Amino acid sequence: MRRRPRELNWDFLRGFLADHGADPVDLDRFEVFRSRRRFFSRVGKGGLLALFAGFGSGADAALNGLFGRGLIPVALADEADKPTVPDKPGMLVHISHPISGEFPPHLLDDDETPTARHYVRNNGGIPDRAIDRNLEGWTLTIDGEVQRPLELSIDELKKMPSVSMPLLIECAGNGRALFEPRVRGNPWRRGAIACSRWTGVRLNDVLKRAGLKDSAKYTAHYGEDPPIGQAKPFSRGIPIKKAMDDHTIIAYGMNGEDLSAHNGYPVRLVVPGWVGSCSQKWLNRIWIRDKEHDSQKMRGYSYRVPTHPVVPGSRPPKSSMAVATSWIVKSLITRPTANDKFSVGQKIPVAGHAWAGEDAVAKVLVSTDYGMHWQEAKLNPPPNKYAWYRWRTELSFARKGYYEIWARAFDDKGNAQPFRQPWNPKGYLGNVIHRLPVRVNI
Amino acid sequence: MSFIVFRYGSTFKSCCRFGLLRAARCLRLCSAAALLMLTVCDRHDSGRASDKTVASQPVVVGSKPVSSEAMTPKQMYVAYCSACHTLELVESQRLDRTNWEWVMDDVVNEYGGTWITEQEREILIDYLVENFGPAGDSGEAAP
Repeated sequence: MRRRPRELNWDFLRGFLADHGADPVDLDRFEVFRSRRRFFSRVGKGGLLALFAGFGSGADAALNGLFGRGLIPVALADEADKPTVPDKPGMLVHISHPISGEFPPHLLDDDETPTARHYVRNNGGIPDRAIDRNLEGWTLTIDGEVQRPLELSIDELKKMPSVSMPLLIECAGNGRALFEPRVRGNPWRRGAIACSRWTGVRLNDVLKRAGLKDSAKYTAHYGEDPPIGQAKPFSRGIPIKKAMDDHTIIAYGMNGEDLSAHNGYPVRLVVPGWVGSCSQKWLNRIWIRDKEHDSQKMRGYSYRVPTHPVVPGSRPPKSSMAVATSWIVKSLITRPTANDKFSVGQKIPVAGHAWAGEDAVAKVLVSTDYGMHWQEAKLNPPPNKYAWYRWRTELSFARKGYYEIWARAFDDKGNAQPFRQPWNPKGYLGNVIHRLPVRVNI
Repeated sequence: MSFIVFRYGSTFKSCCRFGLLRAARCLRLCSAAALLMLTVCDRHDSGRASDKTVASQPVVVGSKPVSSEAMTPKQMYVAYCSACHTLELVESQRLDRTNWEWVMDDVVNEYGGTWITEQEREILIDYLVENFGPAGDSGEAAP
């Protein structure tokens, strides 16, 4: 009887390379290739046509310079051979490894964002556990400045009282592509935001179970995503006050199902209203600290904004930078679609969302003449403080022409969205007004 | 070939489907042998300025069996940058020299992404500024 040959798999190959004296750096590189291969095996082509179709036929108009930089359809920045992600159809992929992608505003119209349209921003690989949906060995550790360090299994977590609510998560860099001068980083336009329904345990219930010491000041979050190369694990944190908010949750459910691999399976934090990097994906440890968390992504220029307005294009000293926390007042036009065509006199339903981080939205105004005249939209309050408001209005145009629908949200402190994007060196917290081009009988 | 196998796992699966398991295994082994190589891929060869002499042979990085002196700036860019991330990220940027220097120094010092000599740093930054500078030649108009 012939001996069965040894199974050739990636682990075997990795072992083989290690046995034959491969450098640790090369082994790391092997892991990157391995995860890249896994990713691309789930990626197909052919989404581009659909992407262009979604933007209507105004592509050439966008190129003629009329629209200004903030208005060039996202698809035009796309390349013909960019990948699509099977469970995220229509996603504009900014980078395929580590994967980051967003959706155009008209695909974000739902009050509760479907999982298939929740943006993705990864700093490292996607853990094998998430791809294989394997819970074996998973625990969540709570340690540091607590009286009773915890190690919770998924079952223990699910036995605790649960909450379920739509909550906003928005990448700190959403809107970065609209900064002038251009800044480094993923060129997010307006779609790195979502308001999905998250189900899980309140973080404050878990922290009460562990018993916070008086010295507890800040959280430090860690996940299972494999860092790339020699990078340090991606880790950020929040002050205890925000951690104790009733809307800050350890989520194991997304829109009524388990989390998707891209969005953090099996468990992630949801820190609504704050920059998305606080909402650690693939969460497996929360370390309670006695001072502001000082991981790499908390220091320098990472997720930090200037403490005072700076000259566009300049880089203030690190001492003038502070941790980015809450989002600020902002709105999105989700109806109609950019470059839609209408007839004179046609009634056009216009709608979108507005939100303001820790604050309430007071009103949303809409203009079709570059801000000379405004009309107030009808504003529906959200189901909770950290979900987005719905606004609606109706427009019609008496004369043919090219128009821009502008939306401008105001918060309850008197702040409004700016007409030009205030600048910071990494392009965080962009909230310039949304301008949507439409055509009437032309 | 290794490029195709890395990116489209279906190659392996479809081989299996047609009963060519042995051939597929062989292919997989070949691809594994090539794992530590970064192939300069065709789709990055088109249309960029400055660099018409891109060779199609693999570029080995990491333990540096091939001296970077033998690489063109473009090969160096592909080899070093795509080791950690795909190149769409770089190609979507429109940054001036100060910003590219900032990025490059972060990649080396903060992210631990690669190791380069001072000379390589200069070559890479020149390449990045020339191709992905504020007035880059790839599509979107400069402000």
